[in-house]
Amino acid sequence: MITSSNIRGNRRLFSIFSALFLLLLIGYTATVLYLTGFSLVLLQLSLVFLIAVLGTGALYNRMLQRQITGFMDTLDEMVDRAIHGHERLTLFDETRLSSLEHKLLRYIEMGKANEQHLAAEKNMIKELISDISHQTKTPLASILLYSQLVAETPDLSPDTRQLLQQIEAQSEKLEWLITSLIKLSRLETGMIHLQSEVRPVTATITSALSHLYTRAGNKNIRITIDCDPLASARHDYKWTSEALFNLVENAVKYTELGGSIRITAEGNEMFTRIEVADTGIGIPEGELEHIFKRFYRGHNAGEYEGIGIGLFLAQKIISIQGGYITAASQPGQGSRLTMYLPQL
Amino acid sequence: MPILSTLNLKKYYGKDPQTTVKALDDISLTVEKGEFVAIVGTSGSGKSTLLHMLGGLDRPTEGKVTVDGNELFAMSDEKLTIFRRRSVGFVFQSYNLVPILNVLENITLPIELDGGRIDRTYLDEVIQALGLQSKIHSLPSNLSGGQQQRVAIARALATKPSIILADEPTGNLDSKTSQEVLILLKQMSEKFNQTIVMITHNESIAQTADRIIRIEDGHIVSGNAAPAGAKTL
Repeated sequence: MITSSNIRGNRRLFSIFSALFLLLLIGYTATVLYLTGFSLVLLQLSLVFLIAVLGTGALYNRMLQRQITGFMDTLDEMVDRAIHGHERLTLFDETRLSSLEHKLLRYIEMGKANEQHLAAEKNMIKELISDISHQTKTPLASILLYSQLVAETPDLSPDTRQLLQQIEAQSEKLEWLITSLIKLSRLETGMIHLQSEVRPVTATITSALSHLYTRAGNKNIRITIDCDPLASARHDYKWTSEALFNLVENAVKYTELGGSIRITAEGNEMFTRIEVADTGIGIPEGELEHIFKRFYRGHNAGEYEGIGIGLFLAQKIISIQGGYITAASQPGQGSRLTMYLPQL
Repeated sequence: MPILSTLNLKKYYGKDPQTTVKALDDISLTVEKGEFVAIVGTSGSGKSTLLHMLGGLDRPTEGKVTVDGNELFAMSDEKLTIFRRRSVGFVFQSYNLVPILNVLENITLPIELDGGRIDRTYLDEVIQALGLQSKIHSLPSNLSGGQQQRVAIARALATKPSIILADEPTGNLDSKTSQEVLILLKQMSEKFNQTIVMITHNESIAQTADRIIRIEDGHIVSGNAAPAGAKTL
């Protein structure tokens, strides 16, 4: 095996060798001069001989170096061609270079085969997801429908009615869970292409809020919006609105009666910031880093409805678009979730 | 295997045991590949000294630093310099861009110093992710602080180093722009599975990181254990 210390060793060997060679030449000339007695002609001849030998040596060295550089260039070219899938540099010659190229190509092919394998697996997952989404829709809709039908029959006992309500509520939860999971998987596997374009964020915020006013009203929560009308960002209207909906829905959920939610939007150098600040129960410091994880629910969140997927989905939607969501909170005083969307 | 680890790292100033200043005293820490770690401490806590050791800029009195399987201080100065150029990316508080080179030239400078080939696709991806497409021909003096720091981050990423060390990267920026630069660092860490170690004195800045290591008087006070399943997100 060739290592860098090996190369350095070679260089030292080379300098020792050259010194020895020079010494030998000078010694030889001196001996000749000493044995034959000093003569100017002989000295001149010896000098010419010395220079000629040294010159030949230097020339040889130079040629060797050029050959090595040429060889390295060939190798470089070979690797480049292999990477970009151009034709081979060496055809099947009986040389070590050719055998090296063959090995290199095989190595690259192995990598490519792996890649194809992964792509095939990903396709299978995609098919599975669309199967699940299709096949669960109908039975779930039937359960909902039938429980509603049963609920419509007159003279049911209050107990039965309550059980039916439970069935309906749980089915609806299941439906929401399945749709969220399907959305997530589609986003993760790249099945959904987001239609991101630069547009004002006001419309997106309004769209997210439109479904929440009633719910906030029921809890007597005041929603204020402070949005720079010129603030715009590159985002997908529908999906970003959904992510924002999740943030505001959380705020409504975890804010007590009579609280308030404040939404601000403004642009800075690179991102446009949409902040959702509430006066709710807040998030303990130790939990802040976990709230964007799948199925994570805070310890104080137990008494509230939810499955712990909203923030995860929101973070996914925003980060796919090159943005990010951060969270800050003062437990007992409220939380501040901030969405950053890229401007370009 | 951790990408970065230190073992009983010590840096003492002064020979006389009475007056010795222990800038770092027995620091052992590990950072996993792809982690974004913040080292937090007040000024004088030893955090800058620690960062200099991690980047091989200064030799410790005692102890080891291992980056990507290479023990830093077992190398000669010359080797260490080359190692730094190839495997460590730096982001400084004062950006340290070369004023006479344009943005693109600044970003590719470390690659060219090393005589390497520029991976155009990767570079374009980095420039795009940092929102610098329209600025690549500008000179640093025509950029805002936030933009300059983004160029510095792109430069640090360009060589695909084993680790990026950021020394108070938002120290010269206002709070809004600081937040943006931090989000970008976090995004880069996730997108390119890039390990980033950042030092700061600011708690709220550190919150963006995956993990916070607190350091006081040359000792680690908390945070030296990668949380289980930290990278499962």
